[in-house]
Amino acid sequence: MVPSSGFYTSLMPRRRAGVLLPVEEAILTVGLRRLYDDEPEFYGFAIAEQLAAGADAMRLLGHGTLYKALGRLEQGGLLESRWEDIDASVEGRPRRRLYRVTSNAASALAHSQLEQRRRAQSGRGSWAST
Amino acid sequence: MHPNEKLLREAYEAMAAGDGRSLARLLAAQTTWVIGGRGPLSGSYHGPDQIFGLWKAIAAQTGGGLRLEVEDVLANDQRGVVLVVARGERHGRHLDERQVAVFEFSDDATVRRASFIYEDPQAYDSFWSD
Repeated sequence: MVPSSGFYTSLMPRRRAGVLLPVEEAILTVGLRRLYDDEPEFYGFAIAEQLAAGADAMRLLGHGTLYKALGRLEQGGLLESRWEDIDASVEGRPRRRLYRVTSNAASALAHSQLEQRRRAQSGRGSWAST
Repeated sequence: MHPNEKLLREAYEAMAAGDGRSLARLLAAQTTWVIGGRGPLSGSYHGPDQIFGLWKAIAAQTGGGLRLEVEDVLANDQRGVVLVVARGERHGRHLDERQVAVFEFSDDATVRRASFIYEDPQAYDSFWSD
């Protein structure tokens, strides 16, 4: 199923409909892999470590890019989340926001990748001119 | 200086010095510590065990705790308000946020309730997000 045309364009007006940002594609890829591994939930810091080693991971964290992307994907219906059920005073760390991909994620990712290939072949970029 | 202003200034000095024994004198079984907002540490912590657990978690996660710079203390017989700048490092992220802490006192000079509100709750939540 292809996501409806306006499902995140209202959040990101300069984006081509149906095309995800690279960080969003990476998050969904990791999320889908975890779903297939039967460990569907993940949290931001762990996914950053999986997304890229070293400088890239720190860049994502340092600028809040990862967390903003997680928020956008959740608003777009491609992720859902819940608070981890722990007592921070007992565990010795803050509770984590746990994410998992929704049933729309796989088709949205495939559609985005297909759209980007199609645009690359036609010589056009993935992004709208401003 | 009002006695409760003195008490609060000494409490923050004890926090900076890691003087748990002095801080313990402020806490009673009914003391409630409230971190405002909807972030990873948000919630109510009841009694000395949970509150010390929270402090230990903050210290462990920030390599020794937040640096709390007291800007002003306002107090009367029932309440005290402390204006603080909190600074810390975690996972390569930097916190530099103004905080308002509101303390309510019991008749025995212990804290009945303390509430903490940050000027930029999103930045505070982002700092603690995993």
